[in-house]
Amino acid sequence: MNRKLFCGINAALLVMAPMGEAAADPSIERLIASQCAQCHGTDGRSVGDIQKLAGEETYEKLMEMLFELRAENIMEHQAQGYTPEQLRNIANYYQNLPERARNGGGGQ
Amino acid sequence: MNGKSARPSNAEADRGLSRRGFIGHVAGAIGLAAAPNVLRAAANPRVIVIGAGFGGATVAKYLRHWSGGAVDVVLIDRSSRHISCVMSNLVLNQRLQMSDLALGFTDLVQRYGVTFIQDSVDEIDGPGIRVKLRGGGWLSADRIVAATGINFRNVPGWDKSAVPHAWIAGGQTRLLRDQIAAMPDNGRFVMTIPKSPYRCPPGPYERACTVADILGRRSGIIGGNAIGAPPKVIVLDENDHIQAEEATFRRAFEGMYRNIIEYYPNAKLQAVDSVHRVAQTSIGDFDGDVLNVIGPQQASWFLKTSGLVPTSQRWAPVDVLGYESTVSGCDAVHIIGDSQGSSQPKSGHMANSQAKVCADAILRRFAGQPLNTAERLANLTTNSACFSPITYDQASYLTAVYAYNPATRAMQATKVGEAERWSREQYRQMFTWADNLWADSFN
Ligand SMILES: Cc1cc2nc3c(=O)[nH]c(=O)nc-3n(C[C@H](O)[C@H](O)[C@H](O)COP(=O)(O)OP(=O)(O)OC[C@H]3O[C@@H](n4cnc5c(N)ncnc54)[C@H](O)[C@@H]3O)c2cc1C
Ligand code: HEC
Repeated sequence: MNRKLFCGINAALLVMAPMGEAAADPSIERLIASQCAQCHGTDGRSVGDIQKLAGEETYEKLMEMLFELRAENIMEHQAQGYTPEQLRNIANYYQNLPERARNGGGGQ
Repeated sequence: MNGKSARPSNAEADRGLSRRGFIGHVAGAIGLAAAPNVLRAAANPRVIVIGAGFGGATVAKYLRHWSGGAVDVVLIDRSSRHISCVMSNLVLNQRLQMSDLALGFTDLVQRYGVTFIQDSVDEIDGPGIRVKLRGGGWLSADRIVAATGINFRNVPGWDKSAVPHAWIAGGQTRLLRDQIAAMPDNGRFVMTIPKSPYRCPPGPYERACTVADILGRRSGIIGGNAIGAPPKVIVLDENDHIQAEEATFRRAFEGMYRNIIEYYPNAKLQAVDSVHRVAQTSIGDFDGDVLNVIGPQQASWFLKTSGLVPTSQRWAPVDVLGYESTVSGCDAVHIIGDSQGSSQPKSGHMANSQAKVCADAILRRFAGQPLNTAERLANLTTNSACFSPITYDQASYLTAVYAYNPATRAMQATKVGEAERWSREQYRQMFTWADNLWADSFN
């Protein structure tokens, strides 16, 4: 009986904040892209005045930063830690994410 | 200025949900958790996460988020909320209040469906995959993640209630703030830095600058109308040089703080006279109006007594593909953040980063997928960032990206970058960064 209550809570959460994206299959792109989230928000949906990444096309900008001769801000230093292939995976992932989680939630 | 300004606290309201009704359910879940074996859901695998700091909160959140709720997560912390070390030096100069550093678990529980238990863990049974709660009983799981930060090694004579470290935030931070506030204007602040690796490589030097700025302004040395001898900040470093952002800190120590900061390398702390506030070191004794001992550090003691830290080591050895313990028979136990012993820096940003690799690995294990596919190895990265206040309104930063090196099977820096100069712009960026780091970990 207790177990049912516990599962009921999960179900309630799912109804309230459904998955924005399929998550049953942990993807490689998702993992590497999540490494930008410390600064740009979970799933690229940032808080405060930093650029969001969800739904954005960022590949060209990232490549520009990667090849900047002299990194001048923290973002250029970040970009230069990745390979072009990795940056493409990251950019792909964010470009295909909706700007907002469906139903406005950022949860599950 | 409030680091938590832009946090999505309206999320529940946005969903048109009756907050009170919902909290009622959650309280029920927490109640259940107190009777451990009731909790076990047959269908879902269960992960116990010990420690709800940057590493633990993030792994709990991402396990729920990425599994779509198909993994049960039980998060255990001895406190009902986490007090952030990140930004805590700003409490010393009173740019932030203690309450600004408090990070609650409400979103983890309500938004993500994490079960929270407030208790201390005293032991991990690695082969049995279970943890012993101080409150009584064992709790078992399919996987365990330990993210319990640091402990201090013993230093003869060191009484932390008189000589604070303020390197685990909370009462210690308040104590050091109050001691600094009570110092004479031309007083003497003595601090010690332990041998690397320790938590937050630039942190101690950042603290030296913050305190020099406080005392410099108060005495009039900064601003140019000083009377009498300048205040002193004596930095006793066990290492042979500044451990992070060396050029930046040298410029600060030898430039604008040259009359205040005295930096001594190779000063190994041997004992503390806590009554008279004396640091006894390999290069001599130093007494201060305030003594701040950032003591020598190691993984949490219970990881050692649980056999997860081999006798001659200080940190828990792990395989960086998923932060599984490399101690034989204990590979269902993951260790992330400051307690683990890989070569990456000990930072909150990095603990968050490792937590995501760990969450991904756990989900793969549950799905019967390998961790070492070529594609995964080629995309296995972590990164770190620390912003350091250098004056009351300017900051520098240090950031690094790490990638998996198959030859060494270690994470290796692919880029380390730091600010060329400290600035007001970076001081502002520091708050946006902290907001997002906190939110990505706790909300
Ligand atoms: C002054 C200062 C400035 C810093 N600045 C930065 C910065 O700019 N950027 C950055 O990235 N990092 C910074 N750090 C470092 C950062 O705070 C740590 O690296 C980070 O907190 C480590 O995360 P963790 O998850 O390993 O441990 P913690 O965040 O320390 O969390 C450990 C948690 O485990 C709980 N716990 C411990 N033992 C038990 C037990 N037995 N049972 C139950 N619960 C337990 C504790 O209550 C705590 O909540 C700074 C640190 C300091 C001191
Ligand atoms: C340590 C924090 C940090 C991390 C980690 C980080 N960023 Fe950024 N990013 C920033 C900041 C700060 C800016 C704003 C830079 C500026 O203009 O000063 C920025 C800007 C950007 C921009 C806009 C650049 C422009 O000029 O239009 C893009 C795109 C971006 N980041 C993508 C990413 C991606 C992708 C990742 C992960 C690989 C990432 N960021 C990781 C801090 C970070």
